[in-house]
Amino acid sequence: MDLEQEKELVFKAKTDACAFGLLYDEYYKKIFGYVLHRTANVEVTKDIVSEVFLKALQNIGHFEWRDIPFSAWLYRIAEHEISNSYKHNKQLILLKQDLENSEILSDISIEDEIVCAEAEIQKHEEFLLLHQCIVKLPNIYQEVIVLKYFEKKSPGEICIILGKHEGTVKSLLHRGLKKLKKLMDENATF
Amino acid sequence: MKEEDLIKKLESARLPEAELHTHQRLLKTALLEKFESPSNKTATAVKGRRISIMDTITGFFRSDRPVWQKAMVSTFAVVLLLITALAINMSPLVRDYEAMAIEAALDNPQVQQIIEEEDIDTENIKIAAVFDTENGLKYYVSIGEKNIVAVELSKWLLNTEIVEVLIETTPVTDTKKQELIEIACTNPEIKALFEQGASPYMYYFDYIPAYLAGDSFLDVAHKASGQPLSIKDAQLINNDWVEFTIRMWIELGGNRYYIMLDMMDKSVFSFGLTYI
Repeated sequence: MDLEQEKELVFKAKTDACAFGLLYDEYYKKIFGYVLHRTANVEVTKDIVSEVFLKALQNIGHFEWRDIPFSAWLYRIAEHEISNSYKHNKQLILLKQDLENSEILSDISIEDEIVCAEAEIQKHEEFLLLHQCIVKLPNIYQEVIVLKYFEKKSPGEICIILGKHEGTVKSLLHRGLKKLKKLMDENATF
Repeated sequence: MKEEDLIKKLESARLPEAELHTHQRLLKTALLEKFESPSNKTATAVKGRRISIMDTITGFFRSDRPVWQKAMVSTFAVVLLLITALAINMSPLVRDYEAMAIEAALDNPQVQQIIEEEDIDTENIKIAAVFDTENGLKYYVSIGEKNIVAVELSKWLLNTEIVEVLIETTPVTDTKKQELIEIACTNPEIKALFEQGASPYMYYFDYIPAYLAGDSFLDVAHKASGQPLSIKDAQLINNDWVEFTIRMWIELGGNRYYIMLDMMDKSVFSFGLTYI
């Protein structure tokens, strides 16, 4: 989907459920992947992603198109939700009841999928070791490192997502890597 | 460790690609059901502003302005209201998907025949459930107590249209009914319900190709991309197809329960209260 098509879709999504559904289909996997790489926890990821799209739905009416991809907005919401979940260790339950109600009518339970997905994560030892150190960094460094190295975002895209200048992003990345290196070294000595 | 080594490590790290298809599908359904919320919020916000608009209007009519001015403003307001009301009615953005689904079901000759034969009141034709599908939304419309119709609304090109209407009630023989109850009763809670006099009132069968029958339930569900296999396939049923799941709805003392039977293991896969 190019930016022009996306603009049209976002405009329609303000009043049309189907258009919102198309945006959801387009970005669910990306946002899920990003949150999973930030949290390394499927259960938490599931709750955060639910919140992200609920917030997007509730606020899309106020979304103003400024030639910035819709995904950047979703990443920002996701970031906000991730830091909130760390800060308050809060239970994200807004949509839980709706999902549980729907699940009664579903073929397989989400819980079964979570078990499979958690097992899949445990297979990635290298990622888990890196993640263990990344989560010890302040949020802003985590964000920039995950976007750059795990989500493979270009510097320009990171600037848009974080709403920061390129110089700031470069310096955050530089400082973040130094701190991460220090943590990795400390980890290796134990 | 050197910084270059760390960068290499980060760049080459193999990342987990876990996905939750069921969550993706259910979340979408839940969100689309909540879609009215933004407009409700707008309505609430507008209501807040309306107080000051009303004050202005009242002030205008209470003022010492000439009567002809007040009359002209009143006429203009009435015309404006009429135009707005017409525009809202004609707007393609205002869609009542549930009403469209019910209308589509009622247009179907088979449904009309059922309504006639079973003398079903239109009050008993209602939306039972809504599911997200690859093509759009799938509404289950219950026609009386025993029949259910699936209506698909296409989402493509953002034009919602009726794709098809299918009669999905599965006729169940007494022997089959007994077999299903026996499987269901392997769950003590369900057994207790049947002992208290619960009775099934609706069934829905899913089938899979026989070559998948040896796979585990979750494998099959994943191969089917988390979507139930359509009864359309079941109409082609022959030796190449086997029962995969059977959904059974039972009723006891005003409460309705949903039971999903795993027909490969002959066990109860899920069970709970339902609003259908």
